[in-house]
Amino acid sequence: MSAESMDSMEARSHRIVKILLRSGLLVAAALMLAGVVVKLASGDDLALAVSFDRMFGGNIDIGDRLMSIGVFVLALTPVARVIALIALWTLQRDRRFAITATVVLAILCLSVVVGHAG
Amino acid sequence: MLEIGSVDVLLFAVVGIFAGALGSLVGIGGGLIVVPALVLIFDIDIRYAVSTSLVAVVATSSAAGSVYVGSGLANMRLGMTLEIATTVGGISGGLLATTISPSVLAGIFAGLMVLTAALQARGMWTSRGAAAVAGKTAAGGSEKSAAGGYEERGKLAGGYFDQAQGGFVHYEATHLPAGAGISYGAGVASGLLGIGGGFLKVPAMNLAMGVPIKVAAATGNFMVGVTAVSSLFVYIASGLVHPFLAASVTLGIVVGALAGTVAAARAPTNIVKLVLVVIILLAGAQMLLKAIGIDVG
Repeated sequence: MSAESMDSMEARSHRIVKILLRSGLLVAAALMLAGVVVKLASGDDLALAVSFDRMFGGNIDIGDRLMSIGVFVLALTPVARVIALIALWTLQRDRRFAITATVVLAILCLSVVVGHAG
Repeated sequence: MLEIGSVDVLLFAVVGIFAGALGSLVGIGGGLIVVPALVLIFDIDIRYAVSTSLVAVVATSSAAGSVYVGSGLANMRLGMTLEIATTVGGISGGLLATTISPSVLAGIFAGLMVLTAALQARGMWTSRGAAAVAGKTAAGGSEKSAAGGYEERGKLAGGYFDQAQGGFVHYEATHLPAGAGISYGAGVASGLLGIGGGFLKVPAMNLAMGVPIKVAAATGNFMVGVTAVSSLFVYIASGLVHPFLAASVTLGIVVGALAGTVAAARAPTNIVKLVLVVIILLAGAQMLLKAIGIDVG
């Protein structure tokens, strides 16, 4: 692959990452705002702490759910950066770093499981 | 359980606005403002304050990323390599926070605040202290080099355009194990205390690994969000995140950061920094007293 097409691939991946980050932030902010508004409007006195199973499953009111999912979407934005870099470095045939980024992604997935057990 | 009302949203959002504004203005923000404010003013359990701060760190990091990605200074290969250490550190820190007592945590945090205030004060007397640059890391305001920089493929090296030298300066990152060790520590600090950890990561790259300060600062920025997520997931899974608290503060941070960038040109940054250093010292003292069990109004 030529140096130019490597560079344009890189520039393209940067553009994609910026779009991903911006959209992720907007969606997260909208969800959080909506959740806060709903929570206040519902007249509920107490806000609860949530964990993953509550967030997507169980017994939780809509305001809390919107806010938690907003936080979750926000947390996914750095993950999206890591995934984009795995893709870029794979396409650039930079094996060492594609593997490195994959290891980081695996550790991030592990963090979801680890707290749960604790 | 947290009692809420529209007043509470506004109060938490105000905390966020301060943190966001100060972060854009002088580079000290995030955890150092959010955690003490929530603990001392609102009497919130420090672990919830820390998780809220982590959400804020992710928000500011991704916001900065949405602007600065691709500007070339950050060496993402280097950052990602060190992230293996920092994310493991982040998980360790998060787990540690769930096991140690809140008062001990508050005490450690108080120590951090005093340390930061001291570093900032020192940085103010020298023309370009590493603390000042690390402070900028927190805000996400990495200095954009006019012609940017590049990173080499297949190894930990790259270059950046140095105006003074009128050309690209090449660098190679060395002493990876040392850098990784310090990065692990930065990850633990991040997970335990809700901070970005830039003040450890930047010197780790610059001093231990021989990476130029501008590249280290930009790379540190890139790393901060990923690290925060690794511990944030642990907190979420452990049920230690308050979405209402996190949402209110984060929305405030967005507003504050925007206001801060607008005001940046006209703000007397040195005065703001001085006031901030004093506040951090006082708040740090109060945190320490609280940790010991004395409640001072």
